[in-house]
Amino acid sequence: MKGLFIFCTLVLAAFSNDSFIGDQVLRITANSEEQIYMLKDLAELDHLQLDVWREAVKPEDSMDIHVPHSSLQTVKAFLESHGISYSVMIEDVQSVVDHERAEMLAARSTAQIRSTNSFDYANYHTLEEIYNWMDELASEYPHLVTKEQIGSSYEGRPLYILKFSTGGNNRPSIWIDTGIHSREWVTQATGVWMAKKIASDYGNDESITSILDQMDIFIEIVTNPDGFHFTHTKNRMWRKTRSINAGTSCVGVDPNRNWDAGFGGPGASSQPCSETYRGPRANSEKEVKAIVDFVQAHGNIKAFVSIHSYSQLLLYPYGYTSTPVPDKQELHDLAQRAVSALSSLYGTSYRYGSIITTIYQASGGTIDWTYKQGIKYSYTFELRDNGRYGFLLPANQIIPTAQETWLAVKVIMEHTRDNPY
Amino acid sequence: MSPFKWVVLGLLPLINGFALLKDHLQSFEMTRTAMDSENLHNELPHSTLHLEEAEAALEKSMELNPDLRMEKLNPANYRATRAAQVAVHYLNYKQGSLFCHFSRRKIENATLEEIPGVGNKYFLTFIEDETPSKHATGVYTAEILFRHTITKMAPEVNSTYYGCVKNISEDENTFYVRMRKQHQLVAGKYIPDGHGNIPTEMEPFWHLGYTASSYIMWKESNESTLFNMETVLSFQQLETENDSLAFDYVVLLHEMVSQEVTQWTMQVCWSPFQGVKVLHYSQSSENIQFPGDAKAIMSPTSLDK
Repeated sequence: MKGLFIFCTLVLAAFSNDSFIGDQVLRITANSEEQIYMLKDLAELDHLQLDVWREAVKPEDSMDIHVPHSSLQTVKAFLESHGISYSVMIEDVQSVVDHERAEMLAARSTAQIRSTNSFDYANYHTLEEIYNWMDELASEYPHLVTKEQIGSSYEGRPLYILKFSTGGNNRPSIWIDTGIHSREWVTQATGVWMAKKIASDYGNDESITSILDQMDIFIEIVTNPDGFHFTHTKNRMWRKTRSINAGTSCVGVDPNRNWDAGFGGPGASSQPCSETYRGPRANSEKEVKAIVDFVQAHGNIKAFVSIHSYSQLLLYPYGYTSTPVPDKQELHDLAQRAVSALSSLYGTSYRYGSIITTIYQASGGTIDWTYKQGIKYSYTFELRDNGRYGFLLPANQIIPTAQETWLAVKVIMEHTRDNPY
Repeated sequence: MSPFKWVVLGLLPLINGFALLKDHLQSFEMTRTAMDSENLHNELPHSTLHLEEAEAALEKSMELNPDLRMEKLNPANYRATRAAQVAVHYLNYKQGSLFCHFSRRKIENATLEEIPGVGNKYFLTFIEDETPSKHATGVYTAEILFRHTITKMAPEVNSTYYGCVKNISEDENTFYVRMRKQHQLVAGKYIPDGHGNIPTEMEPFWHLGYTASSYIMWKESNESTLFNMETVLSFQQLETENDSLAFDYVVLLHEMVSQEVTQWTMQVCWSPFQGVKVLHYSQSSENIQFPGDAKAIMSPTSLDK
């Protein structure tokens, strides 16, 4: 219990910005009464700032002492010169505190989302916060927005889409997904902002109103929830799914190499430890299969926009082959207009072109598959920035990024509305 | 707008004994000399001027050596982008500034020259920024040679650019003086943290990590890579016996083509007089945890004034 108390004190102290970088906790075993007295004297020396976590009464007891980084050498030299044995119980107190704090934050009870108007769009949120926000959005716009579950992730988390519809029956539709690569945090944040934008613009903005009067919009905001949770709690740089691979400790499949388009060809890895591991077979990942099933069952999706970060690119198919798509000219011209609209807001400059010429060869990719399904307006975005912060885009850039991206997405949606096929 | 000082890099000895290239280089040298000339010294450079000169030099060399295999690249093509990135990393390290960095600008023209028995050489010209900022310096043209050798060689870069504004060295001196006055060695973690946050007090250490990482990124680059620094996982100041500040740094680098994020350790020295130097670096196999919700942290929490 005392350990727990001390730990809480440490964590509280950590919240008030004290630092324990390089501090260690030593477990010391005295072998005589004399050594115990020596240790007590040592602990009382103010300038060393030692903190005894566990006292020793009898020689067989061990004594746990928190030693600040600056006193480590002195203390260890003292112990060694007196032949007092010790071991390092905690090698870096700070990392333990960090870990605890992360666990606490992850476990804290759900932040009540009171209204989507007071939601903080200029900050990054946890999975739980986003899922709660979705419910709130659907309840605030009951005649426009519904939340649907299209499947479950590998670890059993629900895969949700938001459907924006003003009626009709299986209208021609637009699909947008964000967060398929979990470390690309600005994309989930952009998805949240865009969903709110669509909901609040209907009836107020001429363009969105006319689009929604004829078409439906689907948004999947957290396309890879297992990965997303992992980025918050363990590894901010996690990209793939969290599926277990047989015969290896390496986890996860790249969900943007797992689609049935050029699967198995160059542009993806066959190694489970790789960040571009394609998986054992196409659609092996539940997160991918859920979308495949949805798209095929729906049968009337006319534009498919998959949003990634970073590099500031707008890409059309193909990634798996250098053969140009039949609709290349139209897709290229549309991309040029979309990028132009994007850049009109803050001057952010984007490159555009096919995946294979603009970024690299990539097989088993999302929009190669959707294009081959007949969804002509298939695009991949790579949002801000150009590498200065990369995946760690500061939160104050979320809204500007979302605003400019929205202009480009609208150009694509308007073109889709105006060019039925 | 304050005038920018022209700085022109000297030639690297990249073409010893290759007659083919010598002629080409002479015409490129002409371009460089033109830029050096007095009447351009205090003026804001015009992008049209050196674009035309660079293209003229290129055409002249093609006339002299019809065997040269030159290919005009689409400026949006990834090959041009990767070469441009290498130039930026190289220049950031060579400039060695704490607070003033190059960034990759939009490519106006890109040409690739395949040199049999040597490697691939890229010629790039960049579009000028409309509003250059205090902390950014810009590249006008760059020539990047990737040698195709069995042992790994760092790419070779030649470039024309404009340098940093004068105020930057004042900022660097201020920081240096402040650091020298500290009673305790400085250390920190997660710059930026998972939310992209960098506390103001920690910014200089981010800058230092970024410039130092440029050395690694330049050295490790080839035509199939595109590196960026993601974060400084940790830094620890070290005792020194001379005037420099010294640090152990651990950084995360992202390589775009493989999508791998790898951890690197390096020992870094800096002083305003000598700039940033990386003494040695290695890829680290021990993985420091980086949870998304961990906060940037520094010890002491702020520097004594």
